[in-house]
Amino acid sequence: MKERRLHKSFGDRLLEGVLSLIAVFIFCVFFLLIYKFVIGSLPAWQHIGFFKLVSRQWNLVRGQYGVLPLIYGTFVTSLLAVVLATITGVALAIVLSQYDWPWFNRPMLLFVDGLSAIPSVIYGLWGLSVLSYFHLSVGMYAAGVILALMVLPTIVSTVRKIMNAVPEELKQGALAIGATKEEMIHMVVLPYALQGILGSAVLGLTRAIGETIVIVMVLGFRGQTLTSVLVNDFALRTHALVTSSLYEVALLLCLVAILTSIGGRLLVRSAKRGQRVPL
Amino acid sequence: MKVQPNLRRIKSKLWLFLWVLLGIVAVLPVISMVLEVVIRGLQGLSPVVLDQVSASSFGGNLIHAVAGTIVITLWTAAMSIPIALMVGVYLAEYPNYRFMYVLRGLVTTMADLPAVIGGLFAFSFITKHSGDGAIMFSSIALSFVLMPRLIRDTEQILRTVPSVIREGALSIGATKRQLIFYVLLPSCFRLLVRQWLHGLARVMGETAPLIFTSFNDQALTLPLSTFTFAKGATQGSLLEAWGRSFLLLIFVSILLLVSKQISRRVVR
Repeated sequence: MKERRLHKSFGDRLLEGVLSLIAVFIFCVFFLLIYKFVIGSLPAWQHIGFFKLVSRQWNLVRGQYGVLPLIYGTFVTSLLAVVLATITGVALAIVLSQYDWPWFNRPMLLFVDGLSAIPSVIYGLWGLSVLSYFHLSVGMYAAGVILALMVLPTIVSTVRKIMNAVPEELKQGALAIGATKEEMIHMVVLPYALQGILGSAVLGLTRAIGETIVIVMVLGFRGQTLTSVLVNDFALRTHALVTSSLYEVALLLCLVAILTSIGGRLLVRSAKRGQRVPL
Repeated sequence: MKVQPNLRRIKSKLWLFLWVLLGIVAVLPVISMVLEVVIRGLQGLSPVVLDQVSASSFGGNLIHAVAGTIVITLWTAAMSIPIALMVGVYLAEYPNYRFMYVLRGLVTTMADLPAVIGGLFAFSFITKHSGDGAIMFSSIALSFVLMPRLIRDTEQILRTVPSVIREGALSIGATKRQLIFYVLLPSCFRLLVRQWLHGLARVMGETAPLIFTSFNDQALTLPLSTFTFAKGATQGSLLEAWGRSFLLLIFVSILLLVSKQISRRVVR
């Protein structure tokens, strides 16, 4: 504040004022979101109560409002997705960042870009067709595998950046004491990137939790997740309490997404700076 | 002494093989996906099928969905780009008050919120469920999804401009306003346009938010009608779904290709 400019023209002040107003508007949008969802879900909180909420049945028509099966569905599908995507994504990121093979890396990068560009309905449609081709049924595992494909680009791009940032001296040192390149990757690159890998997995989890349309299409009625229930039960909104219990589920979804998002960002950001979060 | 290094070398190569294999397995589905969309999509867009569509009970002909997609994407762009630009400039070019840290964190968190939330948020403003408004509320929902992402992108792009340029402009007497409008924004205009197109391509394929804001028009946009037809699950309706998804993929790829072309010409 000491170095404040003496001559701030009226136009500059106006601009700053307008910009800060718009910034406040963003805050307002967020709080409006929370407000709307809380107000919307109030009837559900009042009528259902906490114990019915943590029960094991979700069927709005029959008046069962337990959210546990939804949380279970979200947990299983997105965890499966993240585990699969982390294993393959880290393998891919290793090759992309540590090996200079244009004939391999260029098409791979193109494909990863493609994975992130394809709209999610197409994943769902493709998933259905693949399942019917192999005579498999819809369900949690199918949904998890297809979600893994959608999460993959996030993980690959984050982990690749972190692996590119491994200090050259560490790598050269490992090679100098006689390690092969692959041993060097195990000894140096993977431990260095571990925290970033963890962070990107949590970010991938955020994405997997929020994915909706693929789950609706591929999970069918073999289960429900926090997101798919919003779409599936939206048609029932003429029944009593349905809309408000959907708001309640959305609030829960927001909470989960915000927590995983903050956790993942913190891990990735400190990993990029080379700091370590005590785990 | 000779066996040991060989074993290690073989083990190393096995690891490398495993990594390459895993990587290939992970991205193989893209090829299958694109091929399937193109092949079945062309079948689904054949004139015979299209004639049946206009007679089908879903009430969604193709032109309706295409027009809906384009109009909603344009409205979303009109709503979210100016605001995202302003907030991005504010975050990147003004001193870091404590308020800024909070705002930055909030924007990041909002960018990570699931897209369905945007749909439900827009839905919560709908008071009467009849008549027009599908386009407007859908655009609001999509803007809620797109805006935080664009804010982040704008801020990051502006931060790549070297500070020498700012100092140069200020040292020859430019005001902050002139600095922003005549120096900074023109210098990274192409990158900004690239990010806009990129974001719009992403948001164009969103389906879930529109379910809440479509006013029961199940063929409002291409992704939504793809979803509707896929739910039909008969052979004919699946073919429709493929046709629509093919068109959607073409739209998305056009946007992405244009954005790539723009960024290729950036001279730094």
